[in-house]
Amino acid sequence: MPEPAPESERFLSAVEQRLPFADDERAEIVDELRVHLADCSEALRNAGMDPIEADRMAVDRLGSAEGLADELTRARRDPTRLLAAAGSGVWGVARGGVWGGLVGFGVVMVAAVALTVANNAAFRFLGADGYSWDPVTNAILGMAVLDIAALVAGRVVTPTVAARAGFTGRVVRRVTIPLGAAILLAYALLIWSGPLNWPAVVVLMSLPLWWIAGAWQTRPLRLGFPRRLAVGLVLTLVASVLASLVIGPGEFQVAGLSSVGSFDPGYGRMAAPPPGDLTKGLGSGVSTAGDYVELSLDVADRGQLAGWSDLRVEAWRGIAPITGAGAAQGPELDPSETAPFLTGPVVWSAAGTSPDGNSTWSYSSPWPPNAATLSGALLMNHSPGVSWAWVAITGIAPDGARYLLSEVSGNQVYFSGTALDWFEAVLAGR
Amino acid sequence: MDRSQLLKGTTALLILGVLKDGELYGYEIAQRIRERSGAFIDPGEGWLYPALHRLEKHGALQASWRDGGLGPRRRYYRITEGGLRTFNAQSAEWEQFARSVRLVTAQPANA
Repeated sequence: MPEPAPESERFLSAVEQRLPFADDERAEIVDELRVHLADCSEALRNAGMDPIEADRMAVDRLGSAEGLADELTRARRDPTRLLAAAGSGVWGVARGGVWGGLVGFGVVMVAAVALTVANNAAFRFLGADGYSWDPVTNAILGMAVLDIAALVAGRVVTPTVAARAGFTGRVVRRVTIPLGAAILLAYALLIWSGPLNWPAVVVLMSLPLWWIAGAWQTRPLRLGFPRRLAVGLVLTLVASVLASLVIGPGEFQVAGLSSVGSFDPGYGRMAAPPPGDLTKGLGSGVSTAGDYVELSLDVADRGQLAGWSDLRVEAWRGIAPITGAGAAQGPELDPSETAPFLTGPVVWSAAGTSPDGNSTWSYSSPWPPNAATLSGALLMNHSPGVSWAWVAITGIAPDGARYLLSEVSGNQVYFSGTALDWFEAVLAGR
Repeated sequence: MDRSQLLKGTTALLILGVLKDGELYGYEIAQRIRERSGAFIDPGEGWLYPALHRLEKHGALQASWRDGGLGPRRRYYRITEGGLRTFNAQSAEWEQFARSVRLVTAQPANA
């Protein structure tokens, strides 16, 4: 290869920068031009021209670097390249997505371990409120992995498609950004389904933004082993494990109904306790069926509730248990609530069975002649902002007061569905 | 008359015309055109490489890199069967066009 001259090299560098092709293709074009310039320059020198002047003249004969690069670009474009670009774009998304997903998974898992250890430390030494790892938190961690995967996939796709199609990254991103963002927006809004709260919705709906941030970049990205990141993650993990050995395991006690003890959770505000003459004949149970919480009330003599009206199953908003060190306290009825956030009808069925035929098993057989079972179900996972709910069957007695008929069941609940379901529920005021 | 305008419509014909006699690399093609045209066609080489790459893309040429012994590696172009057919068609068309132009310009002014 002839020794490159400064003017030629500047020219070739300008052409190379403007060619929107893959590295190997670009290098081949520039090599061909380099040989041409050397040949031309040599011929001019042999004709008696000064070397510097010969180099400049050789460059001049090729015209402007920009013009030549643009002409070469146009000459090499064709529909098959666009097809190949679409294919390489899909491959780039898959490669970037998998790479980003794996890296994201590592980052999120190590961050989760570190945060858990920090949380344990805060709980043990500072008396801070403990944080229970719930399904929504797990969902957010999963979403964070998706976000990182979308960022890397977007980061890979624009330069990959540009190199294959023979267009600049700035042109290609006009397609990759809206296309990918629209697909991810649809996925985030309509397809992803699971536990949600406001932070989870924000993380989920940010998915297209991560893609945009990645696809905006036009420089090629080489996906190799992220050595520095891997070292950082391993060090963080080791530090977390060592710290947890010093701190000790977490001691979170999420108090349930059985551990409430003398603590008054405030059921009294739901309704008055059942009248004394009723309690002997009543037995209630709670079960979950899919997303429903089903309450049943076995009544020894259906005539006991003659004259009662507005029998219903109802759910009241609760507040999460307080789990500060040494101050565990059960979940309670939200003091600001004055009415149930959800009510549903109840129906009578044969004693010991719910309307769908399942056994309620809350009353010993044989059943008295007039025994019957009252059941009702509530869809508990479609109310944004409710993390604890108290559910009971109530009714209005002939004296006009509402009474609790079943035991009050405490349930940790979370919204589950798509982001669209979430927004619909919020707009509907649920 | 602006020769570069004339050149635009005949680049493929010129390139295929010199390559039908054997394979050449870019600089040689430019030189051969210059020599054969008696230095009449010598507008610089900015047009040459885009035209070569376009012809290659359309299948009229095949290109291959070859070591040049003591010299640098060069990209040689060879005309294909399709390129030869294109050359024959364009050449005939050009002859017809040139003949027509001559007929028009040879008419006496008072005819």
